[in-house]
Amino acid sequence: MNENQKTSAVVTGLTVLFTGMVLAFWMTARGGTVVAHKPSAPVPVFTNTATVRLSVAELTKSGGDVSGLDCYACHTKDKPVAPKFDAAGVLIPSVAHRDVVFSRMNCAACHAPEEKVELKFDAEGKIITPPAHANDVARHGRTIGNDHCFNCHDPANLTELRTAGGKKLKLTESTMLCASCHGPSYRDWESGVHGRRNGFWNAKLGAADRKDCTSCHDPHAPMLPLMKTLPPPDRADLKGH
Amino acid sequence: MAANTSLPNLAAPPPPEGTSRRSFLRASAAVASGLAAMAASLAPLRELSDLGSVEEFLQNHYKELTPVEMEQALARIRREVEKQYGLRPHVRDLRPMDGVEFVYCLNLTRCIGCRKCVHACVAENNQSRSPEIQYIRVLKMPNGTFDMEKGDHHYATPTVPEKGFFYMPVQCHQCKNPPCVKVCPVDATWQESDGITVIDYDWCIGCRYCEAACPYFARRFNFAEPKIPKEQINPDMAYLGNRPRHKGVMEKCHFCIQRTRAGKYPACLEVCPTGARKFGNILDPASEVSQILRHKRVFVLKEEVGTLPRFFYYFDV
Repeated sequence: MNENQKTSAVVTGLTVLFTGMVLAFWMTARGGTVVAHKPSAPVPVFTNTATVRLSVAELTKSGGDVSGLDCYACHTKDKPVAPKFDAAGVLIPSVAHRDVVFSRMNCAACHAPEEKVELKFDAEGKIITPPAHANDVARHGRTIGNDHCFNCHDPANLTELRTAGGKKLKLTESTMLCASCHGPSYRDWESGVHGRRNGFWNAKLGAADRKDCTSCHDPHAPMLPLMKTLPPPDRADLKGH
Repeated sequence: MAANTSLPNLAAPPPPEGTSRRSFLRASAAVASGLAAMAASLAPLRELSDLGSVEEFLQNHYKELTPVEMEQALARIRREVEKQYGLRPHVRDLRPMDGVEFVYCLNLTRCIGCRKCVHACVAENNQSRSPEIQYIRVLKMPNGTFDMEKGDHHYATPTVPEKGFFYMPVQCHQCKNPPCVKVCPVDATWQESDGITVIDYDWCIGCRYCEAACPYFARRFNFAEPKIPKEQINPDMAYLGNRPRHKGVMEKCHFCIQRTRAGKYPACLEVCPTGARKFGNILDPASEVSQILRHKRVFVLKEEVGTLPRFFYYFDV
């Protein structure tokens, strides 16, 4: 083997080596060690800032125009709301809007203005619910059950409120009615500690949006409903890496 | 002579005497194909996007950037985001406000564990959806216990809260004595005057020392190039905040710097349905957080490790 042949052999060897490296490189680069799966679809309900319900005050302020209210905090646009009716064709109020249905009921449609509305009790002292009010659920109070209409409503005018101390309030002023019993919560709410505040922490740069009691609590059943759990984090340990 | 011909002299053709035309051509062809193969083997390097631009590589540390250089950096980020996600972002460099120190308070009595904060945070801060990066972990623990080792953050009951359990979200505590900052070998993370510990994503070398140092599991590492659907990008960005990150850098909760330094509440607080989350300026005696620290029973997580968190948990009735 002369020098030229040696040279050729060395160069050919290098060529084979490089070609091999090319193949190896492309296979690792293209063969793809793909760790990731497909990104999930957008879910606006994860990020909306609306409260869990709409209060009477909010609906009253809207003047019937609900376009400015965030109905889609709970309802999705592609799934329109389907109202439910009972066997007699009476609307079954949704749990979240119970007080709205209450407040929009026109008492005078059934009760004459001069008629005295009397509560009836059974032998055990429990209130007898008339069939027309069967769907109206009052569960105010976890233990004692503050479910007597006139504890909060004015007996003389059912669309107005009356505190235990006799002070009359409009439906839109319900916060002060709540405050008449729930002092510590009202104190905390006043200083921003209880309840929700949205918008700006810095008053110089913008206004904070302070929510009323009934923006979150249904006055007839103030316990917050159970909420949907959003998805947990990926289990890396179950995915094999 | 033999020494001269052992390898072809590429720089100076024609070949030295003693080499035949045939062997020269053969050698030249072999060398040419070798070079071509090498060029081809290096070609994929050109497609590697995670190497970043030369501009990014040459960029100075955040604290040493002049206003002009900062403008250039912001312009580069705008270009990169536009190229990758097809929208023109609003990128700013927001500085701390005077007389402001941020504090977060979380009411464990109110938290129901719905995880809305987790997902709002991901949407607000442009975290990778795949592989998944989340700044907030919600631990579920039985009432009457406080063993975080046994806390479950993968619970998936259809509705919350579950009877007999309480929920405890954990995120960056923005410590006053932050161990993550101490261990950073390149000063890519530091504490700002308003108490937020930030990361310069262009300076981070991805050594993950800070992740190991953090006692709260607050820091996340981009193991892969982050994937975010184009339509889910939040265009309101800050340099030290939610601008898109690259593979190989650390990230963590920064109290939504792009919102809070503009006076707004952080995203996790905005969506919390129960009002369990409270945020504000501790130097303002009328702020919600000042009220809470004065009147409520607060505690910090892992007080004994001496990190002095700015994140307080509290109970009420």
